[in-house]
Amino acid sequence: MLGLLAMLLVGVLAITAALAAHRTTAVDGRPLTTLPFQSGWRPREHALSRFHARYYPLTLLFLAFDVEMLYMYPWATVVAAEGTSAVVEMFAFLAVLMVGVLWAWREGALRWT
Amino acid sequence: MTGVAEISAAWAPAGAAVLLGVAAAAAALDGALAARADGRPLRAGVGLPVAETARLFRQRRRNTVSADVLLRWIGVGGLLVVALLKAAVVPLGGAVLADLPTGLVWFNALDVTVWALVWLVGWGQNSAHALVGGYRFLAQALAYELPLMFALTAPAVAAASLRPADIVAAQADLWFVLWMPVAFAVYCLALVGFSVWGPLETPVGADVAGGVLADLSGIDRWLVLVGRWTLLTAGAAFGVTLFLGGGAGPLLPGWTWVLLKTAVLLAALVALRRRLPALRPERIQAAAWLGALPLVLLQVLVVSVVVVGRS
Amino acid sequence: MDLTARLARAAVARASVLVVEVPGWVSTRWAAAAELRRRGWRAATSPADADVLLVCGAPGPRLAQACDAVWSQLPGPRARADVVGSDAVGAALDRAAAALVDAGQQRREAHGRPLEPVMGPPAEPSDAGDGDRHQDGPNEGGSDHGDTDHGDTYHAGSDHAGSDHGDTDHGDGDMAPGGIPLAGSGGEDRDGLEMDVLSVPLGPVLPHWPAGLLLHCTLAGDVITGARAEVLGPADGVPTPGNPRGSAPDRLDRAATLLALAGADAAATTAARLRDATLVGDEVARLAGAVDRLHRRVHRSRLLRWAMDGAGHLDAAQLDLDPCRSGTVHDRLVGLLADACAALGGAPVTRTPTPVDALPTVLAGLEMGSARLMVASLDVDPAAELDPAGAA
Repeated sequence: MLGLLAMLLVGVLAITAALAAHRTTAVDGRPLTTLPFQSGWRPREHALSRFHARYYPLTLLFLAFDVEMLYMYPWATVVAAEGTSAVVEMFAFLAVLMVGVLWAWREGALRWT
Repeated sequence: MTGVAEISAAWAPAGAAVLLGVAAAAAALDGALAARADGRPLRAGVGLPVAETARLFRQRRRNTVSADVLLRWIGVGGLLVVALLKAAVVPLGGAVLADLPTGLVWFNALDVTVWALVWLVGWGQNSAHALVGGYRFLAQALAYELPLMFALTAPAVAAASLRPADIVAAQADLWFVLWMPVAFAVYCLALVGFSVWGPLETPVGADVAGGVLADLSGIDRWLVLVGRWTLLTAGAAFGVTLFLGGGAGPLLPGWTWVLLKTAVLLAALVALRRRLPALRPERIQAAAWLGALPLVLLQVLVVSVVVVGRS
Repeated sequence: MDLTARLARAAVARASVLVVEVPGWVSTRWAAAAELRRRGWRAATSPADADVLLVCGAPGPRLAQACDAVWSQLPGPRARADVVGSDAVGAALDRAAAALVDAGQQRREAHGRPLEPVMGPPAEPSDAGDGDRHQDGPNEGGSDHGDTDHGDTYHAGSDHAGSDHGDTDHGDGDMAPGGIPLAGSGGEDRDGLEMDVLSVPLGPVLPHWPAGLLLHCTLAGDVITGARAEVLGPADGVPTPGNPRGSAPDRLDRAATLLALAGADAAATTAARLRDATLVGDEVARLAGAVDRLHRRVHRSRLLRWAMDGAGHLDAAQLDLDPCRSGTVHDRLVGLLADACAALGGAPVTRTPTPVDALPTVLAGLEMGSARLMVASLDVDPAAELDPAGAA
């Protein structure tokens, strides 16, 4: 645990040091305020907006599996001890989830253009 | 029991330096191969990481108008921190900085934070190209993350433990890569995915003007580039732990074997990179969900059956 | 200081150059590409990534404005080179390198830059003053590069904090922070969600993009929902060296662009080097063999085919295009390389370029990456579409 805290500290310090060094080595320590790159034109509107992520049905599918991972890790440590029943139960569950994937695929959730 | 001992936290700076050093070596090899492809001598490209660092340390930072500077900063700085925290649980032979009993879950949790970080860099710039890049990364992550999670499960099942040191010890007789090739291959693909690198670097692709990198310059750009290379390196080292026997090897001490194997895996990835086309998220989605996911599930099934049969 | 000088020298070893091609000066860009390769420099992906802005050719007023706006976005240290003839490229890059290394001058220049952002010209000249973002349907009107006589109503000067046009009518800083309006809804989408749309102009200053092409795109997410094309031309009265359409270097250049966009670095580099080799007049038989090998390699690669073909099949007859455009992006890439083989064999094939007005129809509904590949694969030639009267 202490090792992780130390590593976190090293990371933060390294980034701070890099920033401090950059302030002196850069041609100007102040950032340049500029428009975002748009092929040479002034943006017509701010880019920060309600972005249409067309893969949103996929995120739900992902969530189903992701929750399943909560069981998967503890399960992994006891498969050997629990024996066949653990394998059968887990893979029956995963098979049901895979059927969900097939259904989503049939519904066209895996493509968005 | 495993012969791996947690070392003093005072080694953290040394660990960070090793990670950065190996990452720089991988970037140098990449530069050398690019130089050779350009018809120039290999050594002309070896200096690439040095030259690029000098260039970006000289270069002024940019703030785009109305940018979300705080969120951008979290993303820009976070990538390197995540890579360091990943590396902290990798056993270097007999020594590990943090001997977590749930090291595998720790690694998994950190690569999910990469989702947020890359997206924040893209969002925080208030730039259309960067925004598209950031959302591209989320779509890409949807494709690689689940196969990655199950690929991580396979060694855990075989070792009946989530502790990296136990997983290394369980490979004393046979490296996991030999009987879990699918899990290893999927792990390598996911590794380039969460490093936003190689064939899965479309979130910073040339077709969206650098995407997430589009409006970053100076130290911000440097931190993201270093973050990507260190994520790749930490991921390769973790792959060595999970599949390539960790520090196992004759003659040399364990930590040299970990570094050597990591270097070989990185070199293979770097050499392959130039030959592979960019795999855009909307192209790979079906292959990931209908190909990689069932295959890696089968792999976990095979491993489970073998484990149950053995006990 | 010594460290500063060493840092500068190390940095310039790998300078990054944003190359802008003015229609008609493709040969200058080729010379620049060869020169970059020789020096170990590289092409930038955006102004934030660039140390040098290299303008190849004499741009017309609107193209020059876009170049100036991009110049104001280079972070610095920066150097600008405007080159017309291809033989002047080497010397211009030498001067740029010298300027980049001059730390004192770079610091002074950086210090003198405005604190306010340089606003740059709007892509649609018609909405210059009113800031009206409720645009008409993006598809209507088609290409109208006949009526752009207002191209030079904006001052072309670059670096004074030029927000002297635009944000005059909205005092409500909340709705338009920084003088730029917020994104608005694009109405009912295909998916039935109310999301914002962004107007993103693609080109003319964009790597791997046809010279002078400006595509006014509407994006919903990363999908292009509408587009309108126009061409920004060169300056009047400057003779252009012309475009060797259909020649081996032209075909190889287009293939290299397409491969670079597809992320196939090895093949893209090979194609670009073969293009350079044809220009310096290497032995034709040897080149023909190398191009043929590349052609077969690309033709065989199933992975490349699968990765590139997100845009699907194009029916040339339906769009009234040259029949050779039918098929997928990968088919057209293979076609370009086959044409290069034929040209080197002394039997060049003439293909009708795809008119830029065909692009909006083709691109609607495509994801950005697919759209970029599509544009690069269609063999558009904006320079050929400029009539002297209509050039903007």
